[in-house]
Amino acid sequence: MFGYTEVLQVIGAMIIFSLILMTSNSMILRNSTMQVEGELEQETIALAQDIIEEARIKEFDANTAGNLPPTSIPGGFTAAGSLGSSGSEGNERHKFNDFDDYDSYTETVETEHGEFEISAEVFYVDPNTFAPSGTQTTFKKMVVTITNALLVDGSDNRKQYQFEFIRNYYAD
Amino acid sequence: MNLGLITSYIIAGMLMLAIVTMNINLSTSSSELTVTQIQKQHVQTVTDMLTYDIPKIGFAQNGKVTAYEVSPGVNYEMIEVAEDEKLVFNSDIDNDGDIDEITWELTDTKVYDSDPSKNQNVKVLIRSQNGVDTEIRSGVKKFTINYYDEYGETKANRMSTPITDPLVRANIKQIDVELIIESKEKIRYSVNSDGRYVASAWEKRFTPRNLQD
Repeated sequence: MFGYTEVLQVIGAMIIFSLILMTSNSMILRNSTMQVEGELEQETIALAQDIIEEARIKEFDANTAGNLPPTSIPGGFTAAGSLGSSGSEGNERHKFNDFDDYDSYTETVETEHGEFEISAEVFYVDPNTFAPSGTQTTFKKMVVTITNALLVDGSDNRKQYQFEFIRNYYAD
Repeated sequence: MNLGLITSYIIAGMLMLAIVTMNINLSTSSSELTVTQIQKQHVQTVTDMLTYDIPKIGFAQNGKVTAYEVSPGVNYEMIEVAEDEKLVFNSDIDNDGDIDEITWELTDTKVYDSDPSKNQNVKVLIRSQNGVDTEIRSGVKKFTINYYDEYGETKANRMSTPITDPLVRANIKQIDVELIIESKEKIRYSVNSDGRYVASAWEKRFTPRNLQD
């Protein structure tokens, strides 16, 4: 070993230092990730609230938009399979006039934090269990899903942030 | 001096340099994280106040403020001033039966006017209730208000400001607030770098119930 002692010591020091460096690098990366995620998640919540707040002031159903409510409730509401915007409303939010028009709505919103993909779905839910219902009830649930290219999980797949809101016909 | 000693000095020097660099990076990253958290707290403070105020635009105990007279024959307007950086509205904000005038305005006054070494981009934001000002000196760089006369309208189709015509102001349905708060001091990434201010942004579109037709 004579003559190689110093070399081995240097190699040892290098290995120890490399380990420290890797740890510190992962710490810096974790710090940056936390910073970015915190900032973007805040915006995600604000965007979801925008849609929910806007939808909740619209009529509960297309058939309640007139002066008189339907003669049969909830049977007179739009059929579960026909929820969503009508042909003339398309995917244009400013044309929506009732809560379920937001079903199948998609939008890309540009903010200070970049682009966010927004999608929404609306469906009837059971009044007792709040599970999706295939028939009309007096409860509708809106689920807003938001994704962003920088909000990803460990496998680099976009994380889906979902926000739910349940609306009752009688509690407006 | 023998070759081995010189080589070991060089290696030791390189190691020291790397350790110092690593230390600087770590400390910069930690400082940045801390400052970001502080900025987020500042943003939170302002957004808490905004989310308390703006949804109540036009609220009065027996309906909307427009049903009340400010003077004989003249009714209150829900929104009195609608500008880029200024919003004045009426609301019974504290639910005491009296209509209050609330103002949000980004002034031209620099927060650190007396100290040029601090961030000169940030201005004083004022929230005023019936003329009583609350100055917000948390480092607001941007406070932009956009107005929409249709629900869910795109930003490109926002109403042009200032909105001086009361009839046009009465059509406002949604209000969007963009807020950017910056740190007091710069974070420097190396000895020679100029550094940059740490910022935190927030944007929200409000749909006040009383602005509904």
